[in-house]
Amino acid sequence: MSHGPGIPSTSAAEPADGHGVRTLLDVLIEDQRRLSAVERFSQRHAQGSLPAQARHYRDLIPLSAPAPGEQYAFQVDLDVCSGCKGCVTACHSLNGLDDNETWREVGFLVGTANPPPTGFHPAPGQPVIPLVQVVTTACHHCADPGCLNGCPVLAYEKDPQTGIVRHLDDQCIGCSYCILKCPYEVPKYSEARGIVRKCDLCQGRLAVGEAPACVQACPNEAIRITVVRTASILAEHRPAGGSPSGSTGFLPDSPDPSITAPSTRYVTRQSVTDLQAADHAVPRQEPAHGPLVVLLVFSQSAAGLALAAPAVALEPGNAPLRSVLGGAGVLLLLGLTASVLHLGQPLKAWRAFLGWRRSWLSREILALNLFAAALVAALAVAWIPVPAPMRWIALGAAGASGLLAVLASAMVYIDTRRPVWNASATFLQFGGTTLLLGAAFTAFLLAGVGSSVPGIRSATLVALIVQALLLAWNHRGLRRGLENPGSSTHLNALAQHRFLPWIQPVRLGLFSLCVAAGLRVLLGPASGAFSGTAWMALVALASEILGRATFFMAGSARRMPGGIRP
Amino acid sequence: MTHDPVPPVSTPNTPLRHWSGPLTADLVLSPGGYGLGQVPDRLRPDATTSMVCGFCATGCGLTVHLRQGEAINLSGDTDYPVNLGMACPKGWEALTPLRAPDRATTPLLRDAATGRLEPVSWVRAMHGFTTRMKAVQQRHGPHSIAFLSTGQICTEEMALVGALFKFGMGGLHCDSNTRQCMATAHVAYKQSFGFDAPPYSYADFEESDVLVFIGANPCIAHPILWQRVLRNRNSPEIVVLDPRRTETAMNATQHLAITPKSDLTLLYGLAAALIARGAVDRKYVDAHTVDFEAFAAFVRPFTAEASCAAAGIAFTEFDRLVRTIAGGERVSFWWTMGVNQGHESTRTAQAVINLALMTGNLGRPGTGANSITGQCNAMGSRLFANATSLPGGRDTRNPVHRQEVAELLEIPVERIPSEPSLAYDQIIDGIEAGTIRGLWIIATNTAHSWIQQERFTRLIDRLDFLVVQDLYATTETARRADLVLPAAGWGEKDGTLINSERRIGLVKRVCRAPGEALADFHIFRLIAEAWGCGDLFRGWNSPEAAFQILKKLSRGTPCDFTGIRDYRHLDQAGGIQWPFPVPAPDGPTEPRRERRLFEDGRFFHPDGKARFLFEAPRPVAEPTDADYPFVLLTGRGTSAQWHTNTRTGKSEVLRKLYPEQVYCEIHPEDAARLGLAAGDRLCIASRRAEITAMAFLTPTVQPGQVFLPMHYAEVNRLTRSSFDPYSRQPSYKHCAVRLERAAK
Repeated sequence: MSHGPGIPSTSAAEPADGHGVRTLLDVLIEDQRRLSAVERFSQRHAQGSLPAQARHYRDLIPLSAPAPGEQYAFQVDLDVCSGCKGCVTACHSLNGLDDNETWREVGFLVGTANPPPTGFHPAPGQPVIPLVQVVTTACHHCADPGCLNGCPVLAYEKDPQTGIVRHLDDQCIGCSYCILKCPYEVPKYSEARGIVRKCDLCQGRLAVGEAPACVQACPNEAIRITVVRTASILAEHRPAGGSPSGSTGFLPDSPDPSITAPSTRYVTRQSVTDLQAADHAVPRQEPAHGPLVVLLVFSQSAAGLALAAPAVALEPGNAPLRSVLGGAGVLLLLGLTASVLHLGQPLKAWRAFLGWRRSWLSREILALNLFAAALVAALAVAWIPVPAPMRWIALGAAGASGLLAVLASAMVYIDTRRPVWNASATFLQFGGTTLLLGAAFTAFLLAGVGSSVPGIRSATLVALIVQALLLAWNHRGLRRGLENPGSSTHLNALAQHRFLPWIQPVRLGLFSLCVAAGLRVLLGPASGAFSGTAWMALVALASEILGRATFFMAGSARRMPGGIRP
Repeated sequence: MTHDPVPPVSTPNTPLRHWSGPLTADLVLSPGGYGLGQVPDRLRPDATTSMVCGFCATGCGLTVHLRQGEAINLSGDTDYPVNLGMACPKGWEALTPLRAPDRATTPLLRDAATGRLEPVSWVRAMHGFTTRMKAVQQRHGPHSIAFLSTGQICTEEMALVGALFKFGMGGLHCDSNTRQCMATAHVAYKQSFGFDAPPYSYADFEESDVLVFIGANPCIAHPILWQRVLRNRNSPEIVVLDPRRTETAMNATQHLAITPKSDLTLLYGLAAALIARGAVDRKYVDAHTVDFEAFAAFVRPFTAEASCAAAGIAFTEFDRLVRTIAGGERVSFWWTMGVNQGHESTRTAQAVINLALMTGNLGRPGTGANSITGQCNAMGSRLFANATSLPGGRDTRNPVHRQEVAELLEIPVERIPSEPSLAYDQIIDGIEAGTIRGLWIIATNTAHSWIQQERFTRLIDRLDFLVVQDLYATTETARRADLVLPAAGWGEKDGTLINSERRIGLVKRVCRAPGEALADFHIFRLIAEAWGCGDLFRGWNSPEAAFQILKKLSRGTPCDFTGIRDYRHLDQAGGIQWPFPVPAPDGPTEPRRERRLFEDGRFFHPDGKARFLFEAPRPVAEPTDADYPFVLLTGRGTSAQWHTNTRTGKSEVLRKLYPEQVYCEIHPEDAARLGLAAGDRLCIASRRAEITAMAFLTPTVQPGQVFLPMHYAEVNRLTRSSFDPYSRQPSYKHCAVRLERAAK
């Protein structure tokens, strides 16, 4: 047998899986299972208790704790941040966060800027220089925190000594309202835990004189902790008599700092005011929040029915009133059930009244429960004979509390200060739903008990007119937002245009079905009223569900500058 | 276990409000001991150990937090001389890719009937490997098999596979992905200094008064080295030569946004201007270099006007840089892939070296012509991989060197080939020509990273046998293999890595490899046994035994590290830079922590002098034209991505730090001309292929140029095969493309 040069003299025809390979394999696999570090290498820090890294971060944290009226704050030197993003990963690892959880984020501001006064020499004839500024961001531990103000269960507190805005994980019910309330969307929802969690400025580390993880880990010492007067933060972001919004003292192309008065200070020697976020013109699709859609649409339908109840009470017999109030009760029950199911911690939902002093969500929940109680009372008077004044009071209370619940619901979103959820738009949409579905369901429920034709027709007419007006208004808003890039709702219109282009045509289609069904009720024989009103209510409900889902999905607001994304 | 977790707040719970409880406890911190400060209470270590990171050539020390010997967390090692307790995102997340669900856990062999990769035993895998490789050799000759290795495995492993393949299996042609990143620096140093010897230590970043970065973006590619730049207390001038206004350029005091691939012309122009200014250190040049006069004559025609015109910069910018270099006391020059990955890269790197030589900026603190290396062990590969040179930087063609290696390894000298191996690109040409029939790819992802990718992915089908040895069976290359060998990764094996400043650092076993995955070292031993040449490598019975062999191989060479006693010595010293020969009896027994080369002005050529090497610049392989009017630049995207993303793609945290899909940096003016808005899809076509990417509008790229990050698989479909003639390194930094707005 011949071999080429250098080929060893093993028979190539013979399988090589002989005894030698197997024996060695056993040794190697056994060896692979052993861990070498502890048994073979001494530990240099075996006795160390003082943090070794302290020598590098000693100057980056305050010497003493904040005095009364003061608080800790992040200070980020934009000029030395080189964009390595080590802060994000260090925070993740040193705080033991979940695999997909990060409390810091990094984005970019892009554009041109004046050269810094010292250091850089621009080329001649270059008054401005191209710039991509990396921006690292965590919780801003605001002077007036949106999360804290919105939490229905008092799961946030602003530490009186340190000013750290702390989240109480075991108090949280997982409603996620704080994510909507924080202009920076800092709190992060954990599916696995059913609560939100957020940066606590490594309060445990600061308490023992150690630097927060991000401060420890920044190779360029770009993040430091300072002590600032809380009142000064408020004064800076909410100057008395000054421009309340649009202040750019915080960071360009970012949420309006007057909303919550963030304590983080970004410092730079460059002029960065003309920069735009890397995702400045890129719309974002938000979650649809199905349970909230159901809650809002169904509770508003119920409110609409309750508002119609006094008129229905004028119809002959008890059946129409019982039917309408019963319908309201069922719809409200469905809505409330959905709302509880969307919580991460439904068993703790009973705490939701605690935040009523500040939280519109807490107030909404109280109003909805009040409405439920009033409906039960109204249902009772619809069955039990009571004196007429009492009957009218019960009906009035049901209608008024229903209206209150709708107003409170609207305030929940208005209070987020998102431009697209401004007061007039939100009241109009929620009020529109209340009228439209209230009228449509009233017509259907009246037809269901064979009530008088004029009542059914009036309700139907109201429903059709309201829906036509709503759709026209909606369409106009969308068109204006799309056409005007400077509009505060431009990105929302763009989001709807890009991600949900089918919504408007589908709602228009549903409206024509509604009109067809409505015309049948208005002009057709009385025998067709039941099926006609049923169709109309069903189709209007579908249209409003889509409308409310769009409210959320295209409801984003400007966040901190983001990264490159489609 | 008793300890006192620091309660976040001592407020007791009330029926209505809970300040503590199981959810709160998840995030409680407690003193970690071992100098760590506070750590998550549920991740409190019972021991720690230090090891070097396995991503890039910075070579940071990481403190691994252990519980019962197994890694549970990590942080930067404060006492390590490289990184002073810092780490970049990749380092922080280094343990995560090891736990990925798609780790290869058993060998996989492609079933002839189904065409699918099926799990097989190691015994069967070894049988398949040896019989099929030997069959290829028998039919097509012993040199018809080749391997492509990596700068990502330990030096001991590189040395073993090189020895096994060439001296045991009778192969000749082998190369490594270091060809894609560092071959140029290797060749440039070898020719200029007489040995592949990056002269600096990281302390030089802190000691310069002028730092010139050429085609280097350390802010993103080597963030921890940028940390060292920021620790410089001399208020240094920081100059960046780069077509893009990179993160580093933005932090510089001078940025010359040069035309792509005008670097060689500009560097010659700078040399000419420095000579004209009288900025030459005649004493240094006369004492320590040769051929300066010829160099001076050669660069004379490179006038400032011509250089500025070629580079697209203003004379004032050029002149300011000349004055800065001339006026600097301690000028250091740093280059990375912008230089190395060019069509005339070796001469470009040498043009940088020439500037340092002529101005006497070598061998003193804060000086040097310094190549910042890419991969964690590119430097180990350059010395011991046995591909282009014999172990210890020896010459394959030199019979004395072959004899030395034979004696040191105790193998017959006839087993050592006297011809050099083909380079990476020539091996691929060999596949096309039918002379390479069996290919073994180790810890690299050629089907993603190789230039003009589709040529390689097409040629794979011509192979009789493709073996891929990797952590994952899911890489673009592994999916095409006939046999996949499951490898243990960094953190699952022992060995050493050599960083950019020549520091030999240790990696340790702190995690258990999944299933039957084996350290590359073990796999090579198993193959040696199965091949029937196990007796040749009996001495290589552990990585540390192999390290002792490498020490012997280094004796008397410029990289002599015989003074390192063993792994424990490396561990205690915080890594040791080569050279470190056995200390003189009366000398210090421990090395200084940070050392540079050539302090005595003696280079490694026999005459002790450095060479001026130069050559007329050549045009790029594919200039832009009317059909393909844009220059495509490629490079590192973010600090959270590494190469082909096989590891960095496994961490959810890292994935949050870079765009999920490929994006293209384009100047807003070009975007406006093409009707592109931010986030729109953009179609990029070269003569090779066409891809779509998301448009990122930024004025930091120049009009007429676009930039694509190399981490996305489609990018190298566009690039064009073109190589530096000396280093055979691919030119990733220049090809012509056409752009248009993609349909929605």
